[in-house]
Parts: sequence; C-alpha cells; structure tokens
Amino acid sequence: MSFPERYIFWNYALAEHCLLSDTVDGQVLLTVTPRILSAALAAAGEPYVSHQEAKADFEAAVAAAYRSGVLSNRDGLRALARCVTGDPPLSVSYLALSVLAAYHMRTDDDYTGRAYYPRFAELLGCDLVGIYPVGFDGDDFVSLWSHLARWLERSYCRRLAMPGGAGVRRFLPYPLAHVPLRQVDVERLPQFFNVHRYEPGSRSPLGKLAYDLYDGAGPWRQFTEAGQQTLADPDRRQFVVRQVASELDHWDGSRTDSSGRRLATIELLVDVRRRRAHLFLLARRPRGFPEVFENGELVFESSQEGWYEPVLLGPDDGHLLRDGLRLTARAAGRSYALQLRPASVVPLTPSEEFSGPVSNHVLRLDARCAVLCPEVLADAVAIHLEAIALQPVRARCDETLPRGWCLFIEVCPREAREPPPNMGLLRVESSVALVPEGGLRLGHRWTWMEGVPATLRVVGAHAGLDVRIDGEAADFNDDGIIRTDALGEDGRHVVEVGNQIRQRITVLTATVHPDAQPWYVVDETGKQHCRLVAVPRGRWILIGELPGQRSAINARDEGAAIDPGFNVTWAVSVGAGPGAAAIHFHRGHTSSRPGASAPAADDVSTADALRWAEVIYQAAIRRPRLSCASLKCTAAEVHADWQRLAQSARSLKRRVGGRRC
Amino acid sequence: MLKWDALLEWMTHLGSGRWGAYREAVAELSGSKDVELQDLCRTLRIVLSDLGHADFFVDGTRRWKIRKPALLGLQPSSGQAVLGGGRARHLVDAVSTAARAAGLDLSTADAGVGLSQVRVTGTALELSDVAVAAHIEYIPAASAFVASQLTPIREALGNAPMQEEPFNWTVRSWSFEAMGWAKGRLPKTAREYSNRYGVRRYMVEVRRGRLCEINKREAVFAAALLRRARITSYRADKQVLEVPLTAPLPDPFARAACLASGRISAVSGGRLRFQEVPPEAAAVLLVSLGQRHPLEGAIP
Repeated sequence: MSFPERYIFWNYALAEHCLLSDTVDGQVLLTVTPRILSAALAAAGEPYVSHQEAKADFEAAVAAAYRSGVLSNRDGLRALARCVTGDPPLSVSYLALSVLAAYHMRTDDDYTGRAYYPRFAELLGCDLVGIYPVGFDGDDFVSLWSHLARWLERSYCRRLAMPGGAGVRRFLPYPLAHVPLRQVDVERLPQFFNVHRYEPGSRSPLGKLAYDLYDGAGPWRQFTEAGQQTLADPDRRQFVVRQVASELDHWDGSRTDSSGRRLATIELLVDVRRRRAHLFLLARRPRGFPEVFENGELVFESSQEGWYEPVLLGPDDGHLLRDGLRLTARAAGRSYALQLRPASVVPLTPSEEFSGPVSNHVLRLDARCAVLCPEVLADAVAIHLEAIALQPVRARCDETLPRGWCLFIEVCPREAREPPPNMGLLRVESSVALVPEGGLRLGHRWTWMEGVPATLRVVGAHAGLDVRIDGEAADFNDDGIIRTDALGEDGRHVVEVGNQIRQRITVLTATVHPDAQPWYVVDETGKQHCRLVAVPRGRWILIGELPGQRSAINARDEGAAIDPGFNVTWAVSVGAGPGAAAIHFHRGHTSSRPGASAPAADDVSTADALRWAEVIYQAAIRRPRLSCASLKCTAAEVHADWQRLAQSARSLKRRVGGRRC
Repeated sequence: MLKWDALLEWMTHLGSGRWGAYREAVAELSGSKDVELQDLCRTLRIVLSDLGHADFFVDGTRRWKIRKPALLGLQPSSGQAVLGGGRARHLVDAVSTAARAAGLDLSTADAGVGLSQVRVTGTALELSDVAVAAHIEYIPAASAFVASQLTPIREALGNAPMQEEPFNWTVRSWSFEAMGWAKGRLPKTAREYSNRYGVRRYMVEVRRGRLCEINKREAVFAAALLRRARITSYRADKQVLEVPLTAPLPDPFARAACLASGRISAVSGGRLRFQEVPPEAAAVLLVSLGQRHPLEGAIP
C-alpha cells in the first residue's frame, strides 16, 4: 500500500508549517485554512498559488490518498498511524482535512451550521454511511490524534492542542480544538485588525490580542454568536487568540470598507544614506491591487511582491504624517484605496523585507528600532526611550526629514515598561522572533542565494535559549546575531531557537530564469528583423545580390535605416539628370540568424529582374560616385565590384530582352 | 568571481524585478552604506544594459528584465563573442566546457567595474557549435542585430502622446548652447518636469506650447532632430562614436554601439566614447538617432 506523492508532500509541508514552526509555550495547533494552505505551499518552495487553488490541490491530494491508502486497505484509518523515522506521521494531512471541514461549518444552502460529517465526506470525495464518511472509525480517528500528539511530544517536546473534558459529541471536538474561529468569523478579522490598528504580517503580543478580543470590553461584538461564546470560554480563549495571531501573521493588509472598497496600509520606511535619514512612504500591495496607484503628484508603482515602490518624503511633507493620507483608484470595476493613518509617535522596527526599519505598532525587545515623532514631543519620547533602552538617546532632525518631525534611530529596548498615555505605540514586545538582515533574497520570504545569505538576528527575550542550525548547536553574539557559516551553502536548513521558533531557510544556487527576455523577436509575419542598412538623405534604391531584390526609399534629412527583407549589397541613387551615387554594403555586417534563408532566384518574376537590372544599368551609364559603407574596400575594389554588378545587369537585360523579342 | 557577478547571478535567477529590489541588492553587495549608491546603481545599470545582460525600465516602467543567455558575436573581423544575457555558474561552466572541447580560447576578464566578461574566440561556425553545446543562442554580429531592432527617434517622437504641461512642477530644459540641462523653460527643446516626490517626466516641445512625452534619453535626441542639431560625432578612421556626457545614447543604441567591440563606453573630455564601432553600424545608429548619415556630404 502506498500513498500518493502529493499527499506525502502535503503531509510534510503542513507538519513543517503548522506543527514545527513557531509555538507558544510549547503548544501547537493544526489550524488549517485556505490561506494557511497557500502559505504552507509557498514555505515549502512551491510557486505561489491562490488560497482557493491551494485548497483544491490539498483536498484532491487527501481524497486520492484516502481512496488508495485507507478505503482499499483492511486497516482502514489505522493505516495512517505510521511514520518513517524522522518524517511526520502519515495522518497529518488527513487530520488537517478534518480540521478544514470544521473550519467551513456554517449555515448555507446545503447544510446547517452544525453539520460536520457531510462536509468532511464531501472534502474526502466519498459518500456517507449513516452519519459518517465511508471508512470513518471514531476510535481510530481519536487514536490518530493521540498518535500525532505523542510524536510531537517525543520528537519535538511540543504539545498538540487536544479537547478538554467529555462532551456530547465524542469525535468532533478533536478537529474543533484546532478551529477556534470558523470561516465566518475569520472573514471578519480584517475589520478587527483595522479597528485595533494591527499591522499586516506582524506578530502581535498575545496579551494585547487577548485584551482587544476579550479582556478589554468582553468578546468582540462583530463575531458570530458562536465566535463570541468561544471567546467567553476561558479554556478556549487562548486558542482563539492564537488563531487570530496566525491570521494576522498571514494577513496581507487588505480589508474592505463599508462601501466595498479594498483598503491597504501605507507604512513608513527609514533609510540612512550618506549619514542622513530619509523617510519613505511604503505602501503595501495586497494581491489584486492595481499595478500603479496615481493621485496627483504621488505615484505608487508596484515593487517587489506585496509592496509598492517607496516614495521619498521631503521637508514639506510633515502634514502627511500629521493628517494622514488616503489615495483611491479604480481598476477592473473595483475601487481601491491606500491609507496612511495620522500619527503622533511612530515606532519602526527591523523588517524581514527591507534594509531599514519599517513602521510597526510596537517596539521590539533587543532589536534596533527607530521612533519618529513631532519635535514638540521629542523630549517626552526621549525620556521614555532612555528608560527602556537603558542608555541615552538623541533625536535627529536632518534637513532630509519632514519639517517639524524628528527621528530617534538605533534605539534598542532592553526592558519593557508601560509607555506614557499618549505614546501607547511605544510598548515593547518581548516575544522571540527571527529577523533576517541583508543577503540576496530569491523571491520567497526565506530563500537566499548561495554565497550571499542573510544574517539572522534573534530579537525578543531570547536569553538562555539554545540555537540550533540543522541540528548543530550555534550561538549568538550580544546583538542577537547568530554566528554561523552553515547558511551560505546550497540546501535547506532549519534554524531552531529553543522550542519557540523553528524556521526553514532555503539557500539556492542561481539558475537561469525560464522567462528571460528572448533576443530574437519574430513579428506577426514571421519575418526576423536583422538586415537593417542606413543610407543618406535622398531617393535610394537598395539592391540585393539576386536579380529582383530591389527596394526604393525616400530618405529624410537625417537619412534612413531600412530592412528591405534581403541582404543589401548596393544602394543606388539615380535620377533623370546626370550623375549618380552608389554605396557598397558588405554582407558580413548584417546579422542573419543561423538557418535563416534568403529568397531563391526562382521566386523572382522576369519583370522584377528587369527592373533590378535597369536600376543598375541607369546608374552605371551615369558613372556613379562609389563609396563603401564599411570603408573596408579600396576605391579599386569598390569599382571592380560595381563593374561586376553592372556587367551582370547588362547580361540580364540582354538575355531577357532577347527572349522577349 | 568578481564582486558584481553575484548581482548578475541574482538577476538571472529572478528573471525580472523592480528597480527598488535591484537597488537593495546593489546596496547589500557594496557592503557599505556610505557609498554613492545612486551613482553605483546607475553605473552598474549602464554596464549590465550595454553589455546585453539585462534591460532596464522595460516599457517605461521601473522594472528590469534579464536577457536570455547568448553568445553575442562582436565585429565579424574580431572572431570573438561574449557571453551576454543572464549568467549563472553552471552556464559559464557549460560554455567553458564546450569551448574547451572545441579547442577554442575562452577568457574571463573584468568588464570594467568588477563584473566579469566571458569571451570566446573562434569562427562563426565554431562559436555557433559552442552555443549549441551549451544550450544557448549564438547571435552573429550582435551589434548589427541590436541596431536592426532600434526604434528611430523620429518614429518614437511620432508615436509619443501629446500631453498638457504638468502644473506646478519644477522645469529644466535642455540647452543646446550649454550642452546640458538648464533651469527654466526654453523653447523647442527637451524639458524635464519633476515634482517634490521625485517623479520625473520628459517632454519635447514640438510646436509652440505643444508637448510630446518621451523618455529622458530620447527626449534630447528628439529635440536635436527637430532643430537639426548635431550633438554626436563619428570618426570613421578610428571607428569612434562620441556623444556628450550629458546626453547619453538611449539604452538600445548604447547597447548596439558597445556590442561592436564588447567594451563599455569611456568618458573622455566631457564626451562618451564608444570604440570600435564599424561604419555600417554607426550609420544605422546615427540615422536612427536623427543625427545624419556619416557619408552625408561625401555623396553628391
């Protein structure tokens, strides 16, 4: 019995992404949503696919494995309780699909909000027998969860979330323990993030999330009743908080306002160049947003994945920081907006994607942060920053910054203190995070080019934690930078910080991208443009080496460059009066693609051949002034070549003329 | 491996990208924040573009795109080709192996700024065989080939959209007297409009108050065409094409000029000198630039 390769791949990808990456206090959830599936694929090195494509691929892989590995096996579900040494159990993807079925539970045209097994059967691509999907055995199902939990505990010292206490439904609580919020509530989270000013892709302190979700003023009212009940349950609240943290981590910053317009945030970026601080507007670009966002003087052009190109702020732009900014655009019948919130104090922290710090909603412990604030608040901000950094700080008011604003850079918080009331954003987050700095990144977030790896910095409360790279112990210096050479080598590496961070890093040898710009451009007629010649001003007739190859052109003052479609050997200028000119061209200067063929003489009509000969004859009898375009030939050589051409033209005229008579 | 080979390999792997990402990569490899990053980015861009490795500002955007790897034949008389387009280590190895197998001479030298240039010497047929063995294309007389794909300035100007003059933007104009950009609005010339966020637009006044928008380097030559001004020179005996340093050739023109010899242009006496440009190629370039054929005057 074997499982399809794609299923094994998903098994590996989900184990890595959901179970073996970050953990909180050693506990992990197998939470699976379409967004998480898409992120897991990307993290596993697959090209980006949409959430729905990832979900469809995942469902198909599990359904195929279920048919071939479970339904056709006499062990049934127990066949999934296997794992090869070092690999995750085969059950991971199957259990993840059971979680996905629970995630989608909502009342719709087909099912009530309580219907679980019909959805599970639908995702598995099988029928129901009684109330369960074909092949489902409740006890075996529970055993699979227990087996996975034991594997995690034994191999990685992690605890898998399991349901607490006995309920009416015996089996459903297992997947539900990993779905603190269902789809219907998750879809409302961007609104929550926006209201509480969370930043896309950020890892917020769980305490702050818990406060905003419940502790501050009871369950967030925009959740469904089921969502609010889950939040009100102290045993399950932490699961909700963790799922919301996960959604925030994967949120691209896009949200929809009440009018249906999609919104994204404009961040601030600091870059110190030539010892002067420069401040940029850095707009996020969630998928689907227009390539270019233009509004009067401000132009945002799409940059690397997820961002628009930074826009430099000047001394006169202080009002943008003070009052905020909102740009709108329409594309493909939909409305979009970019928004910079008005700010008084802006913390900026190291970013995974930019060399300078980017605006955030907190400061990070042990990380080199920056703080932007109006000059009038500089003293108060300095007092707080000195208190948390345990050293003096200095505000800089470079002329490159917006007037009336100042910047503190290289602020490294060493301890967390409650900020003054009007500086809530200067709270210090102490959770451990891994921040890559520099290196040459190859597209995906954690992929670098061989020989130019990123420097990894551990920020947050990491004192006493072990660092391992590919299982080998490593250490970090006083700035939290991990000392290692292992990441310069081609391959996949795993960086572990205690049992809190497990990050996979890919290092690749550069290859040639298949979509590189081709050199040969063939137009719609199939003709290759490779025989361009230039002539001075006036009327010229371009002559090819074969009779009939002839093309006329009236060159303007600057002359003309033309591709007549054949190899030009002479350009002849001859009129009704006396005098003529002829320019000699060498075949070698043109660039014919190997294999490109010249037209055969047989293709030429008698009339064309006669016209070709006539032009040469008319020029010849006027004793033309001869030149060589390449200046390679001596006058005698050019003359001889012209005489040969004139002779062949005369012969042709006589031969064809004779036949006509 | 020279310093900027890693940049070319990185670009080769990605295929295309934005100027911002390129700039960050240059900053990363330069290893210092104090370098004149803007100048360095521009210098490298020119080298990468002129030697046929990558196209920048594709279709008027701030994107770059790598070219397919190819053996680019230099002047036929030289019997040499350079490895253009994208470049990765395995590709250089493949070309090297194929050249060795064919008994050809392959050399690697600094192209001038810390970027390697791979040269192979052989007949057209031998070079073609090497390309086939390395699974890349061979383009004989690459300079003439690139020149054959140029859009003449007259055509570019004819296709340029008419635009209203931007309101409240800073204006500079190209001065043919000073051979440089001067503050203010001069008639019938190229103009640069810039706003305070660094956005720049280039226009040419084709008739009084009628402006056509065109890219920066083309704008100066378009203005020269309208005024029938000559700002380039070509010395056929030395095969040297010169343009003012302040009015560099548009990218495809510069590439065509450089690929004749496989050498980047040099600065001399306030002018950019492209060396070993054969007369036929120079004629195509000059005519396409709207700068008159070099044989003009020699023909009755």
